[in-house]
Amino acid sequence: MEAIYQYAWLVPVLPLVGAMLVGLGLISFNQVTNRARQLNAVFVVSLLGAAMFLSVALLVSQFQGHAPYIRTLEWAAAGNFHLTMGYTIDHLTALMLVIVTTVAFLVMVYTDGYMAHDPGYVRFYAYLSLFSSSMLGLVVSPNIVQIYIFWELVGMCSYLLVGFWYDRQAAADACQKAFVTNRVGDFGLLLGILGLYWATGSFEFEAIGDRLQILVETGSLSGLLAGLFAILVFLGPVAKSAQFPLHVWLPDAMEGPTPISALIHAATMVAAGVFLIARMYPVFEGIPAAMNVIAFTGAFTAFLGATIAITQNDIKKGLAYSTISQLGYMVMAMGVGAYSAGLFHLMTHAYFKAMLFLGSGSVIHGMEAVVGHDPALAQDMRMMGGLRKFMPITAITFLIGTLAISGIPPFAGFWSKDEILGSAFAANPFLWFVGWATAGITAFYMFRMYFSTFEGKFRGNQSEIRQKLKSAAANTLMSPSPLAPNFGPGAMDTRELAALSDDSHGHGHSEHPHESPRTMTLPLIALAIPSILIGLVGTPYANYFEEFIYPPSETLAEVMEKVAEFDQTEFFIMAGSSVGISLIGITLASLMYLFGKIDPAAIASSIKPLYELSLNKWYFDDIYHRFFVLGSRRLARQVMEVDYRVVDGAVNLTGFFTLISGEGLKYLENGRAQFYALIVFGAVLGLVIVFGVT
Amino acid sequence: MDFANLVDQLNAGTILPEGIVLTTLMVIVVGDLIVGRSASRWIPYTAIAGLLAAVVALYLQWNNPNPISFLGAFNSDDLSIVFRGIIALSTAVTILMSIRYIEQSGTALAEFIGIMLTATLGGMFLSGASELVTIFISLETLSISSYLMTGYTKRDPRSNEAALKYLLIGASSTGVFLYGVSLLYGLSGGETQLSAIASAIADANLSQSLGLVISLVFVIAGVAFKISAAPFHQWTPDVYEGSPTPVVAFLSVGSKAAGFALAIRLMNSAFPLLIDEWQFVFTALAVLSMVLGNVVALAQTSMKRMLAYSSIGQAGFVMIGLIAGTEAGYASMIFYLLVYLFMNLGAFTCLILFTLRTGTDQISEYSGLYQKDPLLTLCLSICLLSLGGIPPLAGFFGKIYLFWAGWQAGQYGLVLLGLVTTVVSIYYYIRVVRMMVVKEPQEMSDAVKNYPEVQWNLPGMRPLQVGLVLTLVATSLAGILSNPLFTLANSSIARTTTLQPIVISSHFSATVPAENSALQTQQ
Repeated sequence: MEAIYQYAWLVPVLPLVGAMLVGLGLISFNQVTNRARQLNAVFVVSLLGAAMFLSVALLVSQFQGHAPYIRTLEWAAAGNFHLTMGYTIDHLTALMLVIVTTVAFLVMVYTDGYMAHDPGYVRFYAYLSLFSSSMLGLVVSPNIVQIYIFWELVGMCSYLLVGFWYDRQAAADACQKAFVTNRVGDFGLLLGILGLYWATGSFEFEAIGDRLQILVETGSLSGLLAGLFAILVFLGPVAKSAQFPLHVWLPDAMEGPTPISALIHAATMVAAGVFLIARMYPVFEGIPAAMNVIAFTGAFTAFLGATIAITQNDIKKGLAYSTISQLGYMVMAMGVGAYSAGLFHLMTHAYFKAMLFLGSGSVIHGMEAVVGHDPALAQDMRMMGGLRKFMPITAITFLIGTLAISGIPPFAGFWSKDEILGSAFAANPFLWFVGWATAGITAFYMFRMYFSTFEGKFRGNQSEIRQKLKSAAANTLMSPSPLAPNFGPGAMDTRELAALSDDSHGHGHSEHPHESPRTMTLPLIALAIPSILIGLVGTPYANYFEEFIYPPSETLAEVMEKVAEFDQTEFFIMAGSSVGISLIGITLASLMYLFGKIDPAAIASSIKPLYELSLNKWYFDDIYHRFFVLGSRRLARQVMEVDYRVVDGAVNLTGFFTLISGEGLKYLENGRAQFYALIVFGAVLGLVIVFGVT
Repeated sequence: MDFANLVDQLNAGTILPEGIVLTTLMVIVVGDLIVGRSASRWIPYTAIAGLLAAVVALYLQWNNPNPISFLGAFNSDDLSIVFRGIIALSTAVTILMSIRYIEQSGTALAEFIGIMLTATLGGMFLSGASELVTIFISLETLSISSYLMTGYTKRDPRSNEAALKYLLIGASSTGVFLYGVSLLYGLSGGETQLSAIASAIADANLSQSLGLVISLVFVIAGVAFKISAAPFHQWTPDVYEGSPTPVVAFLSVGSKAAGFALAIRLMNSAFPLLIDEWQFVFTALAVLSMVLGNVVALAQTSMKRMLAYSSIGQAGFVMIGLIAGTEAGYASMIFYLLVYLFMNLGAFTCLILFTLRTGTDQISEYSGLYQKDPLLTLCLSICLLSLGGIPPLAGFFGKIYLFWAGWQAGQYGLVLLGLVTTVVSIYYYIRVVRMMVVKEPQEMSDAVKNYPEVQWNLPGMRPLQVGLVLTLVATSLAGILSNPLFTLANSSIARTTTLQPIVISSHFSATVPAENSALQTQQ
């Protein structure tokens, strides 16, 4: 058994090897490597498959009660500063390893079908593999510095992958937005890490937590400062897990290819924030103020995401807001102290949300056959409808995912969401209420999405809708441009953008969408299984999950005790209410979008301000644009003026003066030897006089 | 008393390197007489071999336990060995670049090399001389040979003018120097050995006399003429412009190094009591040299004149180490001169090559050279950037060491001025680099447009190429791998006994931090 622990470092290293080899191949023998498309894919996928088997073995071993394993080596030492690197395998790591490797494996298989016609097929696999490696490295990190390194690496991979179609303006903008927004959070995280190191002198999670507790108790560190450090650290997860107020990058990140949206922006990387909170739990736990901030941020984000998702027409954007909302649930769970419930939801969400995203990708893939490669058309739900007839597998798996996320028993989402809501009620009924209402909205918008995509009549060939969407898309491309000032790097003439948006669409070659190839449907089916069943490991009747994953501050006995005090009536009340509101949401959605009994447009116009608020994403993008983007551009311009006028002026003046004096002094050199000799004697005399006088 | 006994008594083994150079000189002169013009094929290589043999002999004398020879007239301590090595090496590199140049100017090579070896001999003796008469004789050997070399291309009127000017100004400054020396002789009561002079003056309690100060100023005037420090620099641009370029290269490196060796020895051995005064005079010279040399260089249009002014400025930088007066200061001087040897000679090699190929040395004519001759461009760029002190080239580390030593010794104003003038110097060095590299093909100068095809197989071109590559490699690598040079410079100072009393006496003048830093560098 020990052997698999000694070789556990292979888990992140195997995908890295794949990324390196394929990447090197692309750099040195570009054409050859690009031609061997599926060979590269098989190579990368099999390496990740090996990592997956190792991860499963580790999980099994941990489940059987193997002690946590840690192996470090000294990386840098200066005086009494020691920095160690290495890997650790404990319950949390083993679970995360399995989640990441399985989802990544299925997404990679799916990619083969989705990206089949893309010229960047091999590059995509290289990036995917690099991402998997970074994410796995993040998970096994034994200290916070190593986490930070991999944290930045996954951020960079996300940047590369969101901007994968870098010739699309929207994708290029989105990847920059994602990167810059994440930098804000990462800077806070870095400050938090440094602050905690300053206070406690350690980078190890438990040591930081213990020493911080002692420091605060003895009064040598004020509680305020400890809270500040904790909140600074929390800024990292806020950005990475798209929590309010740094959530704005995630919907835009959907410009990346759909497999990326499933892997990075639904299942793994965005969950890294929750994972970091779990890792830093010893620190947060002792600071109630930080816990409250976390809980309320999560609750608000959950509500915010859900309300925006209601009005989205782009299928991927809708799912993105739903992800924000679900991540809000997890963060809220962490904040109210429901450590294992949050991680449980992380696991179930990873599977069903990955499946939903892959399903949406499959839908887009099918739609592209009809409307061409135009994201404005192929991703818009108003163009879809009735797809169940054409793509049955996608429709069934999507329905399973929808039921799971809506919290209908016995699907996975029900158990995890219910556990979170139960804990939230125990901590603060207001938080429970927000979560409960959000659950209803979630059910509504998810079924709205399902009905308008898969039920009803196919609308893809109605040219007036197509025309309307096209002009709307052109408008959205044009609209930010009056705001954008016409200076500075990267400024583009708006007419160029308009020209770009015109040319790109080949016409669809088919009247009807088609079911996706097997490499795409197989992962969907494979993900459907955990989406249905994985919740059963954490039922209140037999909570294996909680026995396995519990906060580091608690012992197994305490957990068992808590599990044993399960109250059946309370469970029924809680579960009943949340299932009830979900059913209300589903009913409402079916009346509006399946049977057409209620006209959504009428409701929208009757509560126009609220509708507009949701449609415009609570105006966050506009506010940020006005204050941060324009503000920093104005500042940059002012600084440039100062640099140009004052600094350059001073430099130029000095240079001018020097040149002038050089030109002037040149004439002392008149070529007459008598004059030279005179100067020699004069200088000698002058020096003698100086000494004579003094 | 037989010959061997005499040699032993005089400790004549210390001048073995000079003996080798002298023998080489005789071989060349006699060989040229016997063989005739065809001797020019082997003469330069013989000279180089002789010089390298002299360097080896110097190396073998390293750390000589008994350096005093010729009854105290010559001191072969490690300091003088380093300086003699620098001079011999600079002559060797200069000969490499002069073969083709002299050949093309249509004058005899053997005589040129003969005169150059004589100048080298003078410089080497000057580096070790510790007695007034020896100093004067070797100084004049160096000077008169230099005058001859300056006017060597006698059909060129500019060369004649340069020689005449050099001779006139040189004679004036020699006169001043000689006057100062005679005052010293008189004040010390008839002593000629430097150390004896110092003790005699101390015994006579003359340290405050005006006569001694006058003699100090006069002596410094002679030294400053050799190192072309402002305001004794005015001959430099005219002479540099008119004389054959290899001579300029020698004057700017070999002759200057000899001048610095003389300055260190004279100031430390003869004027230890006037340390404040001579530091003051050299500070004035350094300030003037750095400002004048670097600022006027900005306005030059000819490459040779620009390098002439740049060498005035560089002398100003080196003087910072002298003024610092600490072990680190002297070591940084030696280190900088070692580095300067390669980068300045490299620049002159490139200059010669360009002049040979195009017949001009106007800076504007260099534009677009990159397109035609990348090797020349690379070498000249590296050498100029190194002269400007751009990291990671050798000149950067040399300057850093100089400035660091000056700062440790408390010469804050000088170091700051050095930094500012370095920035100015970077401007005119980079201007040339930009001219060569950045210009578009259509902006190419006429000279570059008619640039002849690069041919290395003409007679005399190979040595030029060897010199080019050698200086290029040395300039690029001496910065990164500077440790051996550091060790060499530091140990030569640490083992030189004549400098030790000065370091101790400077201890009294409250430079305790400098003392500490000197100790640190030794560790």
